[in-house]
Amino acid sequence: MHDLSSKAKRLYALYFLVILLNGVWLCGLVFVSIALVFQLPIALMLPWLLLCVGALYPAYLYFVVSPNYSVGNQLRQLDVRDIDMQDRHEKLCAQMVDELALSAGVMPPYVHIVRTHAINAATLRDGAGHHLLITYGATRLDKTALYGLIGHEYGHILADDVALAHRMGVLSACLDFLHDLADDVEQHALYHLKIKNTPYFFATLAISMLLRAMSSISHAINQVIGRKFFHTRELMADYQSVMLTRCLGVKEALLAIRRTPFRANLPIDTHLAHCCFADPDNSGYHPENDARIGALHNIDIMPQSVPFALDDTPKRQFSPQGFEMVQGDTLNPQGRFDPEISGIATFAHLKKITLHATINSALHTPDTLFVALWRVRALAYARQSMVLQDDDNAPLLRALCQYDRRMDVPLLWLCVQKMGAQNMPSSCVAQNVSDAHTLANALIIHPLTGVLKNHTLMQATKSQMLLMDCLHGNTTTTIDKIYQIPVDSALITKAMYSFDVLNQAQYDALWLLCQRFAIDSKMLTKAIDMQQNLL
Amino acid sequence: MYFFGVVMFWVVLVLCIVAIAYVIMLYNQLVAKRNSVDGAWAQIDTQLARRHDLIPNLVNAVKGYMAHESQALTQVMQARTGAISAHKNHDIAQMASAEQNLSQSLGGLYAVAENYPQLRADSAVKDLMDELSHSENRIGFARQHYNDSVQFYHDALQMFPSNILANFFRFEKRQFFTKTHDYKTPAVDFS
Repeated sequence: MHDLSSKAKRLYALYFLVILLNGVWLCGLVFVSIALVFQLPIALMLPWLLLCVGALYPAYLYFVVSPNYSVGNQLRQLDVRDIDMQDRHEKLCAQMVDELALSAGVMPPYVHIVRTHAINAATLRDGAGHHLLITYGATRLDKTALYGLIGHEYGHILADDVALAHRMGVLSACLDFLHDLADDVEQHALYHLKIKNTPYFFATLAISMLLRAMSSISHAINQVIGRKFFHTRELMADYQSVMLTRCLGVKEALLAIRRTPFRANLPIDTHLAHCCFADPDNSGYHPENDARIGALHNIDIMPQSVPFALDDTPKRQFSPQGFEMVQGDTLNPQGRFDPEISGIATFAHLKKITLHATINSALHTPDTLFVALWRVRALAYARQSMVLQDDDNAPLLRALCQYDRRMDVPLLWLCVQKMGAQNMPSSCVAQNVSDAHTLANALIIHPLTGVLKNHTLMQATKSQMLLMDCLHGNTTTTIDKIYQIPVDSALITKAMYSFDVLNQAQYDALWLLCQRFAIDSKMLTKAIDMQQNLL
Repeated sequence: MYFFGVVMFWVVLVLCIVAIAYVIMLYNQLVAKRNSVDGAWAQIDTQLARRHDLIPNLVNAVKGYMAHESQALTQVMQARTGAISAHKNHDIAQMASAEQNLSQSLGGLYAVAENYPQLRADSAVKDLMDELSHSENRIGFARQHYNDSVQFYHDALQMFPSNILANFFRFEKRQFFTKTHDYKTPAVDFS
């Protein structure tokens, strides 16, 4: 079922009547034609003529108003802001929108920025024109990828997919209406059962079952056809993007989504998910990213037509091992790059990867540590009892020194220790497998999706304040307070993320936390020494 | 017999209406494509004019710093004059050539400008160069759209059955706005 508000459902119920009236109108038209040809009495034509006229207004509502519906609601729901022309990236983004409007031969849409680090974009339409919603994360893409992403949205604009998606939403809502109607009829049937009016009970029950069967079958058909249809539209939008930009920027953007921990999450209505660049909520309205990337390989880009605009795009970069580097990839100080981590992080795939490989991959490609965390989670789900060998501690601590978001690594280590608890001190032994689940999930939920429940956020803020006290105030008393914080790795993560640059005092705070989790102090000392040497 | 006659009348009438509607549709499509080409050309025209307007500002802004580089500045201004005169003649091939010449001269100016640190620090010059660079991009995309539109228009002119209508109503071919040889836009780095 669609997650539409009750107000929207009522409106869509009206559209259901509109569709019915449209059907009547068409039937009337046919009937009037027959009556004219065969010279039937005018009295028979009159009601149909009246129906035709009566159906014009709702038909207008359906075809003209429905695509314009709910843009304001969506913009409010997504908490968008205007583009900031003082920001270099957003200015560049606005210029690209402007340029691609010339390439597409359409009016440039209104550009809004969605406050999220996820990489996605969406197109909406109202009476004033199209609205292009770009996430903050997407504005940080490199030039080629951003061209591809915006070009894809222009593909939707040129094909008028927004109106189509709205109409599909209307049809789906009509089916929802049937479903709701079946509920009402069922209630009525129960009433007849209550007053022991058996014949009426069976009659109304039969009607409700019929309605339910109709709506369910129609829903299933709608889903299958809709998804197939929308998948094709997505591929067409990708193709249009390549034609407009004359480059494979879409592929770069899709690869960037794969790399970011925030993915493409966007809280947009399900029936508008199709208007996004990538699947915002795994609703299945988009083909798999790999399928899209695969489809792009067959496109002839017409390199002879490359406009001046793309001549200054960044050159493709390759690691010393010969692997192509995409958005988000970096080499560590040793120049090592592990291609394994850039693989597809599907659940089935993850289960096959050993913990040792996970840690090493995380060390070699620090920017994609989230993939390692996914793997840890997969391992937890698979209930494999993995033991962290002593030899693995040193590289983990080295990663602590080399990784930008250094605090991730001890957390990962902690997670691993919790799962491989056999050779750890009793104080940090996981109580059971579900403890490992909780810990792993806590690690995943906060830093990767940014989704924090309110109470967790409050706890995180509290712990952050305590840590700040620890750094600047009375350390002795604050240590006790820190020990009183319940063990919740998500809030610790949140607290740790507030430290962009580590200094000695912050190391001390980290030390305290590590002690809290019984992390080997000698290793940490070594790590801090290494870090200071690097600085 | 009467009934058969009435049915035939309606059938012929419907066929005639369909045929006329089809011809009207074809004609409208041709007109729409021609208008699309004209619209795309108008965009190129606007973007070129915008670039021509920006260049004197840039030259005025940099000549204080580049007193010893009068040759590069003169080249840019000469290329601009050539582009404007080609623009007035409405000869697309000549315009394409002149615009390319102008882009090359600007590229030379950018290359020379990179040797002047003071120039790199001047935000007004930097903004102007950014604006010109953006203008180049816009011209590139507008040209791409124009050439695509011309191609679709030419397809319609040459394909059956729209070619019959095109000949009858004398729809004329349009010129592509193409580069004469490969040219790479210079990358400007004032960061």
